[in-house]
Amino acid sequence: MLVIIATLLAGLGLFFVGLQLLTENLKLLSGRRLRENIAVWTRNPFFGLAWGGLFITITQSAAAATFILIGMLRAGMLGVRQILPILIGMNCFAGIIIMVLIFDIKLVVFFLLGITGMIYSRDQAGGVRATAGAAFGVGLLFLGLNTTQTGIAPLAEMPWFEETIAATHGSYMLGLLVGLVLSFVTQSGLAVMILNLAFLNAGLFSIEQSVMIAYGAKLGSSLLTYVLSANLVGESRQVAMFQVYFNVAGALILVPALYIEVYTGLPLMLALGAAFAEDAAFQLALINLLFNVVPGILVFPMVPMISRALARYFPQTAEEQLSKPKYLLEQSGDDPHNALRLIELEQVRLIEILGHSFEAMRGSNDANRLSLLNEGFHSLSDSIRGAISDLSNQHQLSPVLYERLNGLLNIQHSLETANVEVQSLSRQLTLLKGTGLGERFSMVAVDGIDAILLTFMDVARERSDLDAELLAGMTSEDGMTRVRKAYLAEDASMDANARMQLLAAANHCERLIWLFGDMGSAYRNLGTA
Amino acid sequence: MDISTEQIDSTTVVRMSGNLDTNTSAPAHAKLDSLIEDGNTHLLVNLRQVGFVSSAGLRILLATAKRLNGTDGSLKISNLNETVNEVFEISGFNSILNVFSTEEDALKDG
Repeated sequence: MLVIIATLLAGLGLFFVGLQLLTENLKLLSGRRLRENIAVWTRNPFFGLAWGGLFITITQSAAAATFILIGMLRAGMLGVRQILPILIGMNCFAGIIIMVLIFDIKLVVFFLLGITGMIYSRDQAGGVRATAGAAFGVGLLFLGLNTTQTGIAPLAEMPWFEETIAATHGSYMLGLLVGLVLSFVTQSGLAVMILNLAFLNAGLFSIEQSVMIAYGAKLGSSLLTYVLSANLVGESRQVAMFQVYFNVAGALILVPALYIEVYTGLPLMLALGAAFAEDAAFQLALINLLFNVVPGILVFPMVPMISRALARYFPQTAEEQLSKPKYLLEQSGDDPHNALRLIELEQVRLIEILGHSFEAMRGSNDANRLSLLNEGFHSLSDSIRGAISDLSNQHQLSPVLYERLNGLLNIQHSLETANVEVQSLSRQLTLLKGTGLGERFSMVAVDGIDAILLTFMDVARERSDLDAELLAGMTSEDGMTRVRKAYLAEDASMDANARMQLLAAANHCERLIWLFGDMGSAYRNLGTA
Repeated sequence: MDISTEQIDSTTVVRMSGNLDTNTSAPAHAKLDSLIEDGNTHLLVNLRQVGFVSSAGLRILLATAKRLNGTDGSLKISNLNETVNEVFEISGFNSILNVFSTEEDALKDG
């Protein structure tokens, strides 16, 4: 028994180290260029399928892979329509990986580990080392899975284990439940399938029960995705629910089909598996593959339609709309004047996001909305920086246009700093709201700074001299300092901790006032809109 | 929000009560606009009965000041409570608008 536990632990250890190595090295490889390449490569849905295969191979968990994709969606790297083929590919390849695992891949894994391990240890830095490290991680992942599979085999010979399994023998629905629970708990449908194959090989489960465990594992993965995505909205929810529906639809068709086949003798999935192989493990792997591939083939041509349906049921949030470029899409590459104007228009939209952040800070200080707005700001900001970079790379600008571009770059930098200050201010105000005076300070600070921001927005939009003069007047006085001093006066009823929090919040306010004033001057220098 | 007006010499005193925020700023703005359209270009907004002025409220005061800018009209504000005064201080409105402690002070000012 000790040997089984030790082998299982060794396998899991190798698996997790492999995953860590893979993740760390992929992070080293992911620069702006790679992110742009990913966006280009996934524009073709067929390439999306292949990406899905890569994702599930790396993560070994459909739920984990789904959330990585949601992260990329929220980072603005991918759109829903690009992600859906990736999810389909992910589901299909999850089945193929199981097919691969029933063959002895140790030899391939050992070659992979040997070659990449030597490269990894010899190279000191750079892309080659990171690529070798990532490949070494993949090798460790598979070695870990293989070790786990080997380790569990002797379990079948243990009398107590046989008796426990025997108690469930014959119940297909229990098999479905076991697969569902194990997949939910381990967060890896693939890991459950490895165990399932081991149990089937050891004769602990019948092929019917193992098939039901496989179906249950899919449902468990969907349940996990559903639970983890409960607080998501908009496009993120669209992606999560596609993955949930994909497996639920498969189970709704195939679970009743299994009962029909068993009780009526009508040849369906089990018969199909048996027709291709005598080996039970191969039959299971094949049925598991079909569970994923058949719905995948049916769904793939309908991606645009499904995408529209998901958008109707889980509509894009206001924050997501704000995070998407509105003007840069129309950018004319031949006309730098026009390109600069479109960049200016997108920058005004960044200011609007800051305005929405102040709205979110009022009352209960909606941290979730603020976080979404922050993500949206970063996403739009990345697009603007990309456009600025493209403009300077593609055109030889006149000195006047370079000056204008420089002005916009400075404004861009200040807007990004302002967003950081807004997020920090929000965190400080949340801490302050527990105290009476802190509550009042939060209220006056949010509305006071928001009034300056609204005037700054007028300057950015309309560039009138009057607005610019008003903004200069609003930001030149040290009213904030006077208010801060009054709150921190000795007789004010605040403890030391609250005073420090208020001081920090007031500092963020002062920096914001300065930034808005400075950007107002920059817009004045840029001239008319 | 309740708004009452009183004509004192050439100045129209606008007395507001309640909070001047997102919900109340539209009717308040409409009232100030209609007063200007009726030829009342010297306005004094008394905020003694106003508990809080949000950024939306500040915005209508600024819009009114901008509308009167370049005419021979004027906008004065008076009687801010402590909280409203803090919003004015932070937003810099104390610097760009004519703010007085009392209605009497505002009326005395040229």
